[in-house]
Order: sequence, then C-alpha cells, then structure tokens
Amino acid sequence: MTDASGRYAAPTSYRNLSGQEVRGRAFLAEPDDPAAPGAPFRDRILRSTDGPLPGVSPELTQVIQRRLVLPVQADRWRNSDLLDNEIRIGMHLVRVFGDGYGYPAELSRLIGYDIDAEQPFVLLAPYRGEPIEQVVRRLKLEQEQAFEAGLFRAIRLLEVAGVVHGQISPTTTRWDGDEEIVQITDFGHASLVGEPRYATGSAPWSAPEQVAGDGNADARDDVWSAAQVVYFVVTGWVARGAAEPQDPSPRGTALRALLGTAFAPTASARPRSMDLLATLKLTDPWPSGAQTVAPRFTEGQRVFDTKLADKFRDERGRASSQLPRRPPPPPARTRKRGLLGWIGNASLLLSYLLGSTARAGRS
Amino acid sequence: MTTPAQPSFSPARAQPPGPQAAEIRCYICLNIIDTDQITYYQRDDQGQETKLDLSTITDRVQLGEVMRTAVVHCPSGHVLPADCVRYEPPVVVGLVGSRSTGKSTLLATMINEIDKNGLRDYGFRATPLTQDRHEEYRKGHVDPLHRHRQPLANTAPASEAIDFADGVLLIRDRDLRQPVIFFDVGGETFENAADRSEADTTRFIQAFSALLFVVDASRLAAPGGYEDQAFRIVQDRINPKSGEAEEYLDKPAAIVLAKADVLRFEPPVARWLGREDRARKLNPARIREESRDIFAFLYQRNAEWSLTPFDVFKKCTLHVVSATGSNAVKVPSGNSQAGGGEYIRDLRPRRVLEPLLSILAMTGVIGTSEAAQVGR
Repeated sequence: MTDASGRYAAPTSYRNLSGQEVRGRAFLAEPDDPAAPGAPFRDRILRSTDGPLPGVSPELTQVIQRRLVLPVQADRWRNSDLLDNEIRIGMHLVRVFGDGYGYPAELSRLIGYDIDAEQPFVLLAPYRGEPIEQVVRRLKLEQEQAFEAGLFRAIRLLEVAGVVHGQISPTTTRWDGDEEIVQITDFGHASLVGEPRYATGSAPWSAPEQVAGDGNADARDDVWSAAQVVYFVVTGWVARGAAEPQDPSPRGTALRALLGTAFAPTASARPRSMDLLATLKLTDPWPSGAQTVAPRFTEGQRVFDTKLADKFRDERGRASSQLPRRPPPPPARTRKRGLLGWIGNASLLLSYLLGSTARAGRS
Repeated sequence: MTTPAQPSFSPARAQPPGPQAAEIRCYICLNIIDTDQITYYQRDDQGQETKLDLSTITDRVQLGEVMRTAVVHCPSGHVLPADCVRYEPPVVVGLVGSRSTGKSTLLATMINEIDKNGLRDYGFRATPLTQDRHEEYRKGHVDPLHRHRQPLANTAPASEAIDFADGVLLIRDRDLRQPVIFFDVGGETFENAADRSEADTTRFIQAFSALLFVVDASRLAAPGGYEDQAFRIVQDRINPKSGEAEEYLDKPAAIVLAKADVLRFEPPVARWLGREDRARKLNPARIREESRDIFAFLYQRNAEWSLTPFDVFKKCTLHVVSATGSNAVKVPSGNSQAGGGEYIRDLRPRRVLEPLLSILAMTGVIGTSEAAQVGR
C-alpha cells in the first residue's frame, strides 16, 4: 500500500497506551531511515498535518514509526515478538513514570501502536540527540563526565522501573549535547527483572550471562553494558569479547579503576547503578522509587498463597508428624502421671481457693 | 513342566495385563459397565449394529482394525466406543464456559496440536479414539480453523454435552493406553441457572473426571468486564455463609484464560504467554508460579467469579493460552454475519496443551513424583 511518492502509506489510525483507537489522523511520511540488511524493522518520521497528537504531553507533532517488515523470516515469530516486546516494555515504563512531563528524557517513550495493521508498527516520541557512535572520543572533558553521569542515571531509572534493557550499546545509546542527556532506545529485547534471559546481544556490549541466555535478567546486566559504553566513548577502546577493555593509557587505567567491578563476569559481583552514581557524587534521580506492580495484584498473590496453604494444611500437619527428627511422644505412663498431676494441681488450687474464701469470710 | 496354552491376545483387555482397572462408568449416565461380561458390536455407516464374535478373529492386526470401529452399550443403552472400556477408564474432560468464550476454538486447537504429536516430549503418542468421530471433528472444526483460518461459528446448543466432541488414545510405551475424551459444555446449558436443580449441578460435576473452566480474555478486556453464568455450576457448591467450599472436590480442574493474546501486553500475561517451555518437562513449581500470577491477575481485574473453581476443587491450576495468537479477523465487505471472515495473521497457538498436561498430571495419568506435586 504505497502513496503517491512510492512510500508505504502513512497510517491514519493507531492505538494509544490506554488501548483506545485514535482515528482520522493525517501524517506525512518521511523516507525510511537506512536499515541494515536483515533488520526486522524500518524506522521513519511521520509528521502530523492536523495538529499535535491528541492526549500526548508535552505536545508532539511528529513521531517515529517503527514498522515490522513482512513477510517474516524462517524464525517466523521472532520479529513479531520484538515488536510486541517494545510495546509491552514501553507500556510498562509509561505506567511506572507516568505519560506526562514527568516521563524521564533518558528513556525513549512509546506513544502508540497498531499490531493488526498490514505492517504492524509502534509510534515513539522523537529521539534526543544523536547516536553516540558519532561522538566517540570527541567529547570535551566536562562533557565526558556529563556523559558518564547521564548514562548511569539512565540505567538507574531502568532499575527503578524494574526493566533490564539487555542490549545497551553504541547503537542504542544517544547523546544530547545541548541538554547533556543520555537517552537509551530500542527496548525490543528488554525484560522485566527476574524474567528468564533469552540469549540475545553479543559481547562486549551485552553481559556474558545475557549473551549465553543463562539465569534471570538482573539490573546489573545493564551495569556491564553501561561500563563498556562509557569506556568506549571516552577512550575509543572496545573490549575483545566478554572482558574488560584494556586501554593502557593513564586515562584508560583511571577509568577502569573508577568503574571497578562493573566488568565482573557475573551480575552478582557487579556494583549497582547507585554505587556508580555515588562515585561521581551524584544522587538518585528517582529517590521515591516506583511501584512496578499494582497493589491489588500483589494482594491477589497473597490470597492465592493463603488458599493453597489452607487446602493442604491437613496433609502438611500429618506429614510433619511422620518426620523422624521429632522426638518420640512421651510414654503413656508419663502422660497419665501428667494427667494425675494436673488433677492433683487442680484440687490443690481448688482447696486453696476454698480456703481463701473461707479465710476472707472470716476476716 | 508344560505351561498351559495361552491365547495370543485377550479381546477384552489390551496388552499388557495391568492391575485390575477401576470401575468403568458410562460417561453419559454414570452407570457402571460390567467389563467382565461385555458384548462388542460392529457399527456400520448407517448406524446398524451387528454383534461381534471375537473368538473368530485370530489376527492381532485384524483385531485392532475391528476394535477401532467397535462399540459397546451401557446398561441404559448409551453407545460408547469400545476403546473406552478396553483400557484404563477414560479421562473425561469437560470444557465449561458460555458461548463464544473461545472453548471450541481452544478445543479444536488442542486436538490439532495433539495430532501434530504435541505430547511426544511428555512421553505420549496419540491416536484418535474413534476414527470416524475424529474425522468428523477435523472436518467440522479443526480444518476450517487451522487450514483455512476461518473463525469457528458458535457451537450449536444441541451439539453441546450430549456426546463427546472428540477423543484421543494416549499411548505410552508398553505400559499405558489411556483414553481421553473431551466434552464441550456450553452456553445454553447454563443460561437458566435458577431452573437447574442441585441434582443437575452435581451430575455435571460427577460426569467429568476433570473440568476446564474457560475465561474469555477479550470480554474481560472490554469496558465493564463480564461474568460468566456457566461458572455458577461451581458457585452453587460454595457455602453462602462462609464463602468457602463445603468440602473440596477431589477431582482436578484448570482455569484457562483463553484468547490471552488480547491482553498480551499486561505484565503477568506477557510473562507466561511468551514463555515457551524450553525444557519440555512437567515442572510443578513453574505451574504453581503461573497459577499464582494468573490468579492474582484475575483478582486484580475484579473477576473473582472466575476464581470460584479454585475454592471448590482441591487441585486447581490456572493457565494462559492463546489458540490463534491474535484476534484480528478480516470480514469481507458486505458480509455482516458473525462468524464469517478470515484471521488476518497466520495462526499461532500458544501454550494450548498446558492445561491438558496439568490435568494429566493431576489425574495421575502422568505418574511421576513431579506430576504428583502439580496443583499443590
């Protein structure tokens, strides 16, 4: 479906993040950005010709449209899943940070989507700045520090939201020199903390466990990536494989010292994003934390746990009495004595009480 | 010492002779069938039956052929496939939910996946229980959906719950021949909840060895949500004063959030719908985690009516499934009839066999120690 200029026709409707259909829009489509061969998506700018997009603040009159290229390949659903994931994680980020002025500039922002179109797509707010590939080794010293701070802030925000990007690299990181903001984009491979890792990304940008697809996603996966990106931007050096980059210059050595154990092969050995911010004497960009799970959902989980435990409570009680570790029950003799003892004590108590009543009566 | 001559096969019981089977009941009227005194009949295309004399059949292959179309009668006269009495008592699975909840689409997709050897990794080979029933079912339900991408029309009320929709025989190595039959228990059966007697309610629950309660994610997602009267069949068993089940029923159940693709951007649904079982092994801890998340999700959406089976059935698991992968249907212009049209995308069934696997574990068909933990 092409328009007069031979481009794939611009959409006239999409769904907003509340799931409602927004219809009757008119966009002018720019040409597609150049794409690598085999790339699953095509990106281009859409300019709205009938005013800002409804319900979006700050106002937007243009958006990025990321389209899924069909027909899909041999692994037919992989690219669909990438687009689905952009939507799922994008929606999650908006839920966490709100969809107004409070949404952090450090993270790309989902505006809308349409998965039922002939070429399914998402709409994103225009990106900031330029891909950092274009600023490698060209930042002034103060800008370098601002870059480091900006990237650590960005991954801290991801951690607050419970999102692990998994593929922070020079192609998914942008630098806005005017505002001195680092922006992270492309959430197709991202997960929520704790979800099983799928083998994606490659060394040195993605952490070793991420590349291998081992274990569960951890916020410190992004710490590895951020450290590699910072190192690359400042020194131009890229690590060979899953290792520390080895610029022998004083700059490189100093930077490695700053980043400390950020290059540890396992997530659990790496510092957290807050630790990295602390080395730069910076504070938490989102100190109040964020609710990443609806309270009623957590309540529902508790209800489930309680009900399940109730169902099998009897069995658990019986099972525990059969455990060999428990001492054997006291022999019958002792128990009888105990019973007699109790009766004995009770009668003593009774006689005391009667006596004391009598005594009280007398005095 | 000479061993007495053994017959090369036993017509009434398939090999190998296992422990004496539990009593076998007619799944329609629940009368017990005496398996020691059974008469088999051959049923032809016109429905005419002739008594079978199995002593004249000496060839095992020929016996197998004959048995595939043979039937037996229960004491009330209901006609059952022979394989329902030759092996383990059938697992009778009832799918419960009002019309258009996606039950029929789910069942058609489950049968299709089983036909494509979907249970192989769990140790089962599957063959149709009765050839002609299966062919009819494929022609009427499976092929229109999976070959031609046509949405299934709502199940006609008359065809619900009178006899089973389709059945399979699960075969595991030498030691198991397990019939599984599926009933589509639907809409109209439950529309007049007030008219239904307690006896009726009990019969429905008793007739099945396991129940699959289907919740429609697309109606849940619509403004205002919905409540399915079909679930009242279990609601009636809950003590109104305490809000607790009078006693837990010993048979297994599964609550299935169907058409879950509609809600696939919601975190708990996304987490489980996309999670293909890489290990292809029954994992009771994972099943419990999914049950917990889907329970919490339905609770969060104020759909507690859909959770009542959890209070009634002792072992009850929860699952997300998507039979088709998307809800997008292209209706040809000028066609305003519901049920027409074609799915826009290729069908992508997801996790459709998980509820059945859970039920096979909870009924003991999968007899491993892990399986015994499912539902706990």
